[in-house]
Amino acid sequence: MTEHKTERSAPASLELEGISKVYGTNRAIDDISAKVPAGEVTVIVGPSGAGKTTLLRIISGLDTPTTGRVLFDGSAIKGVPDGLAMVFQDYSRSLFPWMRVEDNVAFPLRRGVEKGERRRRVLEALQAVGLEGKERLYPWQMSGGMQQRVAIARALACQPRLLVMDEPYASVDAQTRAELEDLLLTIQARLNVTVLVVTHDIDESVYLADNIIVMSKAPSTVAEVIQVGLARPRDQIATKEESEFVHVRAHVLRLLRGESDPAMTSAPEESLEVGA
Amino acid sequence: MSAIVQNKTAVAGSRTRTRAWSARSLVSSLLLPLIVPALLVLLWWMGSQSEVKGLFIAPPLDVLDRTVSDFLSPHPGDFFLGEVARNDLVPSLWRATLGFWLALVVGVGLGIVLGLRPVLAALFQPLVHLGRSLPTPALIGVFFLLFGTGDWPKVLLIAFGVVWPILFNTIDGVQGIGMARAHVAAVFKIPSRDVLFRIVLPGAAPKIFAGIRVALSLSLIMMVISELQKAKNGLGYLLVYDQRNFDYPGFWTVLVVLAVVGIVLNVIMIQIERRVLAWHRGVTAQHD
Repeated sequence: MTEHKTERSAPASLELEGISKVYGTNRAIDDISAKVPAGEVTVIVGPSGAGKTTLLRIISGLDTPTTGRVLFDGSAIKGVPDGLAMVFQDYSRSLFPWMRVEDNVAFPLRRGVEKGERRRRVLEALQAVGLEGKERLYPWQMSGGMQQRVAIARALACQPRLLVMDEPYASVDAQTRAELEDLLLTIQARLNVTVLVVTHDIDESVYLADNIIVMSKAPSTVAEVIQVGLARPRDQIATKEESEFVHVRAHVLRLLRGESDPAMTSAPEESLEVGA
Repeated sequence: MSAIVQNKTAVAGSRTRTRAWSARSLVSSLLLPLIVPALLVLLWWMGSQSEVKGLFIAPPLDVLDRTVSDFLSPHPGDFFLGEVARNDLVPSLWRATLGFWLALVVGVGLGIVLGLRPVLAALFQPLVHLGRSLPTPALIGVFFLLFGTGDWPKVLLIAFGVVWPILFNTIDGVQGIGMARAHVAAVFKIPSRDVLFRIVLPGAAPKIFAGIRVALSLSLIMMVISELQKAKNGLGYLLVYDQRNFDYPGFWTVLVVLAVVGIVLNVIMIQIERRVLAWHRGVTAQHD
């Protein structure tokens, strides 16, 4: 087993330079410039309809910006960059119900990865997400949280240098969501991969992030980039009790509401979810 | 002590209840579906006994007897097929099979292309609607005119008649796969061969199978219709021939054989579908 220690290439960095996107007369994204540093967790948070999904499609090369460009490790992307893997919001549509778990995870590896190596990577990825022994199941035989783990395993099996996640935990319950948040942080620390998450959940953004990119309402711009100094490893209870967590959360919420931020003092009592 | 006795009676009680229940379920699962067919045969027999209509309606037992002697044979060299089976049933099924498979290949192939290319689908939509709306039996003369009088016009008529449900359902199935799956394929750079055979085809399979089921029963209808004119053999030909020669028991055997063929094909179809679409049943069961 030891000689099979997987070599992982260095995490990738990402730069957005003056991205805008116009659909007809509808300006979805006005002007977004931001950096996603290598080996860190960056979270994009914004109100519903802020063009988060559009931005993510541009970043992952599925769509082209009207102006501006995306730099993956310093060079402008054309199409989906090599080394990028993605976890989609809706696992029931992103996983293929006619394939077993192992075939779903192995599917992107069918080209270019030899069979034995493919098998090894599938088992390794499933182990990383805590699904060892489930490879013969079909996705629909599993709970929602487990299905999203399969989707994460599929992305990991590609040995990505940048892992992009689009509202990955929006369709699972709160308990599972907390588990999956911790799973992501564990994996990120172990594999040293750059992670970019889009979410509308403010708690989640603060809990996961090294950097939060707060988007304004459409036509969207970057309202602010916030560095989160919370210690790692993070803990669902202890981290969320820290005053830094409470302050950052309140700050993000004010930004999303478009309020001016007097002194970053108290956390608001209202709902923590924006839009929805 | 009394508790044990009580317990025992309880167990015995539940056992009799289970037995009664299973006997009832046996009755309902085996006997219930037989009642209506039995009544139908009774009606058939009563018809055969009527003074006037009885001339045209052969009694069920006579028909059964004649069916066995016409369509079955004790000789292994003939694959246990009687003379009529060899001369008419086999050519009929052969043409129907050929026509059905032709329609399947063309329908699924064309359906995938049109389903994946909205521009082409829009371009050919009027033609497809025309083809679907035209009652194929009306075209029988055209097919004989174009392709002569051998097997080919019949095979092509069957294919033309049954291709539409397969084509429509394939287009529908492919279009219903959705952008989410397309994004997955794009992000993970799935080669187009795998996209076609491992995403598009299985994704559209539930709809395609719905089309195939309709096409299968339609192919038997088209098979008979194609043999009503300018035919030298086949079950449809036999129907006309027996009627003209006042051979009513023979006429009825053809109907019996057609019914048996239809039922057998349907059973085979259900078995195939159960295997291929096991995942689909799983998904639907989960969403219920």
